[in-house]
Amino acid sequence: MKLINQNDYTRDESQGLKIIGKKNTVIHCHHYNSRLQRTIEGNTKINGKKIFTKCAAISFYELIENLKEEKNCTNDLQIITDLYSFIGFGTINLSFFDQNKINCGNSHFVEGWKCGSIKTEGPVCRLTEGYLEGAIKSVTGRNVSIKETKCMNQGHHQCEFEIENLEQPKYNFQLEKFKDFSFKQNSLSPEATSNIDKKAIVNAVMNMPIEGNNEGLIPAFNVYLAHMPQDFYNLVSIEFVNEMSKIGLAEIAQEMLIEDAENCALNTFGGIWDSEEWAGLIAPMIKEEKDTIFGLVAVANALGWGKINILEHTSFETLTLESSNGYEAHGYIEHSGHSVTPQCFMLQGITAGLMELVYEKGDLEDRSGKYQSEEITCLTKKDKSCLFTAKIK
Amino acid sequence: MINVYRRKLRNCIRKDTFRYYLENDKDNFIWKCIENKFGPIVDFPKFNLVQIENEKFIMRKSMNEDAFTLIRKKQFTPEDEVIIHQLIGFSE
Repeated sequence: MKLINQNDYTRDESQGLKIIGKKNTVIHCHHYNSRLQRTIEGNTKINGKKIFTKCAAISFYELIENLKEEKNCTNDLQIITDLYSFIGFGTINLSFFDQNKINCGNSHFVEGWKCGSIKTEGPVCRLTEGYLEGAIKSVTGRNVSIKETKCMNQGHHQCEFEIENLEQPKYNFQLEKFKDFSFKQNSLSPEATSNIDKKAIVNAVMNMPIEGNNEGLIPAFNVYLAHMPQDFYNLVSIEFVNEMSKIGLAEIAQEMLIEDAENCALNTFGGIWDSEEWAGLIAPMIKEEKDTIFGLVAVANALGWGKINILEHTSFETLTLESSNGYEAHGYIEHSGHSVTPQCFMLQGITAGLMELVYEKGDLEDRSGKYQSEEITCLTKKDKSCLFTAKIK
Repeated sequence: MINVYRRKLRNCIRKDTFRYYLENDKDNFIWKCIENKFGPIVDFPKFNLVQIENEKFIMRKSMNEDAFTLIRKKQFTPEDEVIIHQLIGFSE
């Protein structure tokens, strides 16, 4: 019997949140996740691999600590394998755990790298390394470092990891106490009119039994989805920008994160738009050209990204989105306090990417950059909401 | 002669993910054959969607269209593809 199941989720359809183990989980696809990893690790002047692994270790340590408490399973290794496959990262085999070896037969990130336009020949499972470091620390109390020695991305039939015992903790695993969802949520302006039944879409998608199959993967909406604690994305983003700022590249780092999200919109929402799920649920609601954007944004409201409304949309020209509780703003304020500049790079990129997906033609790779997006107001600046615009260049 | 064609999906789960388009009046017959061979069918009524999943693949079909998507898993083999193509009457 699996230790984690759909009943462990608390769904808040009105606020667009999906909570497990006291953590909001954010759904992204394998295209976005592997691309984000590539961005973080791509600059050789910072240690992006370490950022990715560390943020995974800390985020999943906290999540598993919370789950253990909720489920009263203090030191059961099964939670490591069950959670990993439940949230869609693949399968973990702990049969050789006593010999300090772990292997994985399926991997969300490997699938992402295989689909990406830019390849790498090395191991790519940094998320899994971090996940295992945090999970083992939580479940066994052991301080370990995990290193992937073989990866399916290199053509091996499974990914293999070695456990190195450490005398001291590799990271500061101190639990953060501020991660709750009492974060003040202002009301949004009314959504522009469309033929889309947003409530029905959010209800259907949020209550869809999205969990790993026998491969520990979630093939849905034409992509591989995965649930990630929002802390992971926030920590990665904040640490990446901080590290890049030390070498004078903060703005470039922010632009890279925006570009990743723009591509996320093209790939993830492109997959959604082309899926059987879309054909069954949303396509019958489409009566006018503009409805497609409303349908896609309705789906976004069920991905744990928070509540997002379309304030204005003119086909081919402009799109204005408002978010009252986006995970980026939420996470930034929790981690770093308020800011003088907007910090929601993901949603900013998504705003442009949605327009490029729906109104541009040709290969997806060629559509990027056709629309200019901007975050006008941001919760991190103490504004009442985050407001995003996109217009054709 | 059944006329079936397929299209590679641009935003793929995997690069070898295809949607198969069936003739309108053969759709039910073919899907019944698929169910008999690989069933059972799982229904997702909110999505107006049906699905057959086993260790090797997923077949997912919107009830609004005469088409289905074949999503391969790691254990899927070329022989499996031949069997499915024969069943639905598809040839390149």
